[in-house]
Amino acid sequence: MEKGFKEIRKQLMGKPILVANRGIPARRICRSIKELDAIPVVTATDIDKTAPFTAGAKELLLLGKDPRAYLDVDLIIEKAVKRGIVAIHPGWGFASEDEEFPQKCRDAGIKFIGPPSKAMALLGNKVSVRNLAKKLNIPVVPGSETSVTLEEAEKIAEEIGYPVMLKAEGGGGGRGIYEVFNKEQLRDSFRKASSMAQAEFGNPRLYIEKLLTSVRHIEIQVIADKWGNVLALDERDCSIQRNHQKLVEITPSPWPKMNEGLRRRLKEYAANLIKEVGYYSLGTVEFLVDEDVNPYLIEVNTRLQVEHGITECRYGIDLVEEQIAISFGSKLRWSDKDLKPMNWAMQVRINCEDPKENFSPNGGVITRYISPGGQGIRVDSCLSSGYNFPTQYDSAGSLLIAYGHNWGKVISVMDRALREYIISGIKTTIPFHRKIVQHPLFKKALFDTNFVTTHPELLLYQEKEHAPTRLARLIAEISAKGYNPFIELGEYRGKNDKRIGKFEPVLPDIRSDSHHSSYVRGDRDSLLDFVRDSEFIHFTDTTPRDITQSNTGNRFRLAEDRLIGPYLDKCNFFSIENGGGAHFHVAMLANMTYPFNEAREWNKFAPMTPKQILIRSTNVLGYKPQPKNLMEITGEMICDHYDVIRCFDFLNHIENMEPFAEIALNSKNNVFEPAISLSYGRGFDIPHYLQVTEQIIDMVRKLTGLSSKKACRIFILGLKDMAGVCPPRFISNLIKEIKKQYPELIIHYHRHCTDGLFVPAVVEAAKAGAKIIDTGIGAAVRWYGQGDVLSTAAYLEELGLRTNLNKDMIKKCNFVLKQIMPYYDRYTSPYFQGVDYDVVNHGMPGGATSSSQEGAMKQGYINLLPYMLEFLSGIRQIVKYHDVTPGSQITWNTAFLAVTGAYKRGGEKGVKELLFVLNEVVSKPEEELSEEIKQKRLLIYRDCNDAFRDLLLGKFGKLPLGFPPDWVYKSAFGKDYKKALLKRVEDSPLKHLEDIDLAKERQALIKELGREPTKEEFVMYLNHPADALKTINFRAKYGDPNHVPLHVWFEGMEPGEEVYFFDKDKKPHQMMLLSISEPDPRGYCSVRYNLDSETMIHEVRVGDGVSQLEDQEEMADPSNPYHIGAPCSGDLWAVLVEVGDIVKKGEEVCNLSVMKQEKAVYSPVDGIVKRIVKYANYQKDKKMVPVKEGSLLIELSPISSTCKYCKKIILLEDSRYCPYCGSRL
Amino acid sequence: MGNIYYLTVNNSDIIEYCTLEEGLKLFPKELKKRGLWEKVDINILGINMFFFKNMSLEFNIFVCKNSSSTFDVAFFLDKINLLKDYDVVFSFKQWRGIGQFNRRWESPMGNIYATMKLPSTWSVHNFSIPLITSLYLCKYLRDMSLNTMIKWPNDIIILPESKKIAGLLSKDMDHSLFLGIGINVNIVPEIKEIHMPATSIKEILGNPINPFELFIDIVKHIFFCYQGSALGLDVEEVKRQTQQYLAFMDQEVSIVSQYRCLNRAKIIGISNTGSLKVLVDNQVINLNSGTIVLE
Repeated sequence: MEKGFKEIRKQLMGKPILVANRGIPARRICRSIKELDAIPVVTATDIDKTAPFTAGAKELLLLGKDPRAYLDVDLIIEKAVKRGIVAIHPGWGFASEDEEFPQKCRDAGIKFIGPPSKAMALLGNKVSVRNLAKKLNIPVVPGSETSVTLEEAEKIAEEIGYPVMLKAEGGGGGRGIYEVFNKEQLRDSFRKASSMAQAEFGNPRLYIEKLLTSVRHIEIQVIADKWGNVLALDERDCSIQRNHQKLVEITPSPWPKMNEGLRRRLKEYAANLIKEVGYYSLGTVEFLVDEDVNPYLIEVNTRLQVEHGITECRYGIDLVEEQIAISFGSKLRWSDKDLKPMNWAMQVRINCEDPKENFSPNGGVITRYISPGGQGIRVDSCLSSGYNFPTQYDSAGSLLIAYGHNWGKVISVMDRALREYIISGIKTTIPFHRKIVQHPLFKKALFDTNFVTTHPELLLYQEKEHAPTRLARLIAEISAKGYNPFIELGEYRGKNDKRIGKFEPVLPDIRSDSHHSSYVRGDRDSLLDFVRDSEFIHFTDTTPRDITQSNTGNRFRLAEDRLIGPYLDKCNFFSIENGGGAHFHVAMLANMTYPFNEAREWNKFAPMTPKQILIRSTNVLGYKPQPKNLMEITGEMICDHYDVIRCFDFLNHIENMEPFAEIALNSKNNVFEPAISLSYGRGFDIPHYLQVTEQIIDMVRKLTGLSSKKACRIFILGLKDMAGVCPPRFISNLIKEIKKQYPELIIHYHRHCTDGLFVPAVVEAAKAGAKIIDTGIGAAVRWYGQGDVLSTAAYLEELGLRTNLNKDMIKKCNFVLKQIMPYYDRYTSPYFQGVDYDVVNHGMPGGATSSSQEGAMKQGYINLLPYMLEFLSGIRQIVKYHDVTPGSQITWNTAFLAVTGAYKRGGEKGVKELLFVLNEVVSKPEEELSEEIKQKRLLIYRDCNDAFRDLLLGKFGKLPLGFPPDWVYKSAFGKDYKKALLKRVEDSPLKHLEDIDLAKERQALIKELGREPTKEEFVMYLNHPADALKTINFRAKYGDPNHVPLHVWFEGMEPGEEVYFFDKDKKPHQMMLLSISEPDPRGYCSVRYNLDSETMIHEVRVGDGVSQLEDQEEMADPSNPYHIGAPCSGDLWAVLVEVGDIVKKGEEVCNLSVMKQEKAVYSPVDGIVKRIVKYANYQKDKKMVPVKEGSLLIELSPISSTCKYCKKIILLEDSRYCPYCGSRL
Repeated sequence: MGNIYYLTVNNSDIIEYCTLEEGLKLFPKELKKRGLWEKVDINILGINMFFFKNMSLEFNIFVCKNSSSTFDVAFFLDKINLLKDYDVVFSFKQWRGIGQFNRRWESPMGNIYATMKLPSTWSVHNFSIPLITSLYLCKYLRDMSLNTMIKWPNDIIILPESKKIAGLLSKDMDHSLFLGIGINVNIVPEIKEIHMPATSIKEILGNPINPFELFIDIVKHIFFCYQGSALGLDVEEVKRQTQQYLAFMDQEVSIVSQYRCLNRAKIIGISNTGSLKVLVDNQVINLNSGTIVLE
């Protein structure tokens, strides 16, 4: 008997209604049950017992351990009967379309909230619904009437034309569909599709349909009662799909071709179908509509749909409530006449998947959950903060619906909501949906079911959390460890060590100083004219670069540059050297800063003073020669941000500078400063350097077409005295000679103070005619950089020379630096400090002096250091070049390898012998050397590396004093030395360098980042790929570290401490550290803190775990024959296979060394190498990998069979048919 | 009972072809006088063998004039089931001698290059095989009046110059264990190919020695020692003896591994598994790998 809704409601009050489902459907349906004043009960397996979705239920029906119990209809009904459940709602998925479910419920005396079995069976079967549709003149996709054999499929395909689809008769929800594009594919695809259908649905039968290529998926929601009342609601457009799985659903369809006529037609078809079979409850009739607005029925879903919510938002109704009422005999409350749509609505499915990893599902603890709200938002979610999202079930996390008055409003509401929605700890499809919603074609509704496939740019996004959240996490990590692991200083302090304290600098007032720089920017000729014609000695300040870069610890961050920059800008320096060399690299290596962005910022906070950069001729800003096209891109960025470009070559091979010179000289805004690398010794005399000067002038003339005299007026000649540390008198004589020959030339002298003779040398240079000298601000001056500006200026003035510095401003800058330096000084490496006059012998320049020696010390070779330095002094006299980058590295490595090699072979005695031989070689002429020494000298370079050999071959350029004697080659190359002699060249390496494939590199970077890189990121990557990626990924993970206060950057925070910082929009944020737990057995600390008003927890790994819970070495599973584990602890030294190799049982795959005993490890089975977990190749790189007994070394995958027809090996996954020849296995 | 087999081959990557007559010239006269060479009716993969009977050997010796390495020949013979436990392969010279980590072991004529097959059950004793064998070899050479010591774990050196005179290498290959033995009898290989100064027995004692003769004696001695150990290894006794002949015992040395250099490490003994016990900064460390640097 027909009942009214109120009556039903009264009937249901206090009665238990079960939702036989989990997750989102369970939560959603429980709400309607509650609103009916019935008791919501939900099924739950053990995994789900305390899941967030259970909060919506008053009671749980526990199903036990088996995760698949939701499919066990009999179990569910049995328990429901015991509980006295009056009705069961199946939700969607699981058993919701099990034809037997309604009957079983009926038999048990329980109402099934859904259609009757017969109607469900009829409409749920793809084939029978097609027949029914045809009977009712509802157009269907051309195809077979029933399931087909292969031969029938071939015939029908010929009739309807390719492409076609093979669809599983038992499939649904987009599963079990195979697309076939031509006749040749059909046979093979048929076999595969049938196998898959059997495996997935228990029914191998297929039917065939035409594949419509540009279609929209439009469906009609229908609701019917038991009394024959049927209502078809407005369409839902579900065209945005991936692999036939819906991602976005919209109502009404925004497609420009959607019209009232089509809408009416579709509704009519849907309603007729429903009426024809006496169906009641909810159902959805799905159509494909082609470009010509022809609809085709595809299937009917006989259940509540995932996307039902948007229909509810459109009409302001509750479909589930109505469905429940109908199942108890209520008359449908709505009709076309009284129910009118009000809103547009869109739903996006937030799945716990990583779109960038092929949408692979992921589980894990949700560390942060903030759902959007506000007008026009509905969220149906099964998530919460702290929830450990399981991997046993589907990846659906939540359904986000936006609704509004029109399509445009819905898009902006959804965009806003997606921004607000925060789910951290696992990957979700939120950023992917943002890309969809923002896509211009989506907004215009010009999409079909291929939209996602044909727009791969949807996957190019960067997932970034709120910047302060990321930065707070960085601070938490530093605090938990007690040191900053990113600045490459190792564990320089412990968590409980005394701190310097808060960095709260006092900044002297600068605004009152109305100084203007004497040095014009953007006009090369005016700048140089002023320098040349003025009587002053001009100064370049190197505080932001050379002074502060001896190792990663003392390289100033941009944050500190911002403090001193405005002062430096008013000191009236010729230039501020704020870029280049190692400074560029270390920006990425340790400071996690984009170097060109740094340069840009410098020009904002210090706009007046010209900026200077140091580049290496062929390498520019990298460590190896750059081809022309790369040099051009890097050069462009350099010229944009810097005024003065100092370029040096460690061989003084001037040809190497040409490509860059061409770029810089052609710019009237930039000043090119080719710098001669100076050393002092035999051969490196004044005539030699005059020759180099002439080569430089010749190069400039050639590139500009100017006369020698005019050429001398458009560039500055740099003299780079950092390696040889030339005596003051030599410098004086050199400059005088240069000036004598080229009086128009401006000379810029650069020197280090490592030998203690800085002031005498630069003063001699100035007196001799150098117009510009490099100095630093006193408080930052250390032993490895330049000397102090004020003392140097004072002495110059005493001698009658003039300067035009703003000394008051220098003092103010000095004061600021005095407050900054303690932090850097404390945490910079403390080893090998101080002036060292011995540098004039060994020639190790600047920062390398301490860092190289420190490196040797930390490896245990402190006792060998004096020998290494002595060795350096010797070899400098054999193969002569200048010890500036990369020469200094080559020299140091040669010395290190030679001395440690001699030590390993013969101990200290061996080293002394080596040095004795070296000394003989350099102190005596060739003819006085004994045969024994001539033989023994071959050991000098026997341990050298490839870089040194490349140097000898001329791969870096022409050695300044020519090739060394043949015996050096014999020593370095061994028996192949004659070949080496023939191979060596003297021309510029740039000649042999092919342009790099920029497009390919760009694609590689896009692949790494998963998005388009900026131009700067691309240039960074081209110069230092690994460190560029490190910085880019760091920034994506943590944000801009320059917002972290200096003391926190080095020391972290203590519990109870508070810190304030600003984000890039200058919004203030407050972080208070609450606690840092002791490490757990895994080695993780939990750091609790308040960020603004939210309490957060972040886990930080601070050590090795004690037990084997997480992050352990991967162990071989002893029961898995495809796991090859280490038979004992030892050192892995050789792996003899590669991924993809087929190995036989008993074949040796790798070898361990155990106390000098070599142990072969064999494959226990036939298989294919799937993964090499531990790799070593001692013969190549002299490295072994320690392994523990039982740790997994290699993983194989099984070979299931070999095809008897084509004999190819088949992997288990392709077990039914041969993927090569198609034969049935 | 064991025999000496001389191998000639028609077509092999690992054994150089030569005739029996050429090969026999290499054997000591005494040996040739003692018995008769008979051709073995074995033709496996092109190998012909001639054996020399009645040698009073408990194991077989397979001899090549020139081979790629005795390891290669031993593996090959083992695969075709010709090699039994304690059988040895000897080669007068090698063209691709193998040292540790497949380094080159320079092998001119005049020295001993051999590989012995040991029972695979040896590995369950858990004491380093090269170290035990070093002890046996060291004691044998000391009986020749050579002042030998063991440079842990598998080199024999002569004091006081600490020059290397012999080296051992074991390869555990699934069901078989092979021990490679290299002894400088008459020739000191070129300095480039080894990583420490070397010497030879001839250099010390002054007279040339037939390597094959010496080899038979040495390998009989090692076999004898093995037989004793196989009955039950007295780990403590082995440790005591090894420590007795361990070079640099109680001295501070530098030990270089691929990871770092341990300076001022005092060698204090051997552990029960044969690892080197050192004292560094008042802490005892057991090292399973590393090279002792000679001062």
